[in-house]
Amino acid sequence: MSEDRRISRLLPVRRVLAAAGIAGLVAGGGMAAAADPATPDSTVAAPLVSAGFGTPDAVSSGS
Amino acid sequence: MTSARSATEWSTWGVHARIVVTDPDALSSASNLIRGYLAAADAAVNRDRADAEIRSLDEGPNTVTPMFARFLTDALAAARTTEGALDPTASAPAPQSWRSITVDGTEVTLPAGVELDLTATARASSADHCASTTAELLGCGVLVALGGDIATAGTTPPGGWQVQVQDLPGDPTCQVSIPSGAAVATASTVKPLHPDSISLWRTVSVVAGSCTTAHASSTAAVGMGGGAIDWLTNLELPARLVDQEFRVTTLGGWPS
Repeated sequence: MSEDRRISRLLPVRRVLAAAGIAGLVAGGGMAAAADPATPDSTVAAPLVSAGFGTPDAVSSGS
Repeated sequence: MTSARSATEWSTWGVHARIVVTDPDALSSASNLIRGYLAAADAAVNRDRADAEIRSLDEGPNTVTPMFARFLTDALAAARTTEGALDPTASAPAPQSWRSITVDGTEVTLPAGVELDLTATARASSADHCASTTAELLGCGVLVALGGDIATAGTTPPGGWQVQVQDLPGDPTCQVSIPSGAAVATASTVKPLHPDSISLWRTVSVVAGSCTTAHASSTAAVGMGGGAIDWLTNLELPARLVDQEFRVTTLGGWPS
């Protein structure tokens, strides 16, 4: 199969995958989807710290 | 919100050790694992021990234990973060000699004239290692507090790990919630062992992705004066600074 024919056969597959939102996953072995801000699964990183409540598990004091 | 948690405490390395787990059935195993780890860590990096691994290293390449390699890797990362304020050398021919130390797996290469001292970072590193290893082995959430250095790993309890931040009794206090994987460390200039009355800051607390980074950042910042605010802001780390007049400054998303 020539390169042009191979690509032309793959294009419809890629369109379907893109419509499903997983083209990047296929193209980049998973990493692309994780890094793509347009990917629906992308979320803002959870904050590292927020206001606490209740009984403390531990106390951080200087030493 | 509360959830099943179980805790135990003891004194070690001159500080108060506290372990909290999200699975009460795992507490005994966690305690044994961590006590064993700390004993091994002491044998690796305590320069006061004649048989310590740290005292066996020579100039040039050395084969070390994986534990020692990890301690040194953490110490070098802390030195880079603090631009050398936390220097992992006891003696060195030049102020920046630590930059020539290399770690490749378990091979450590020391430049001529360099002796290591990992005291500044060993406790925070140990908190990181103990939390991550224990959580992985026991499959539960683990909080390890060694003095003011607190590391967490594994399952995050509902509502997060609850950490009270306060230096001396009567100082301003607050309570924060952190997810597993986050760490808190507090540096002080007013504790009896390290009083520094001319410092701008009484206390600096930092939250980071590792206890080693939190400890290194808070320790470097507490001695910086006003420059600490810009320095911590550039690091993008949540921080809380208390000055000698008990005024509190929060940065980087630390809840006010």
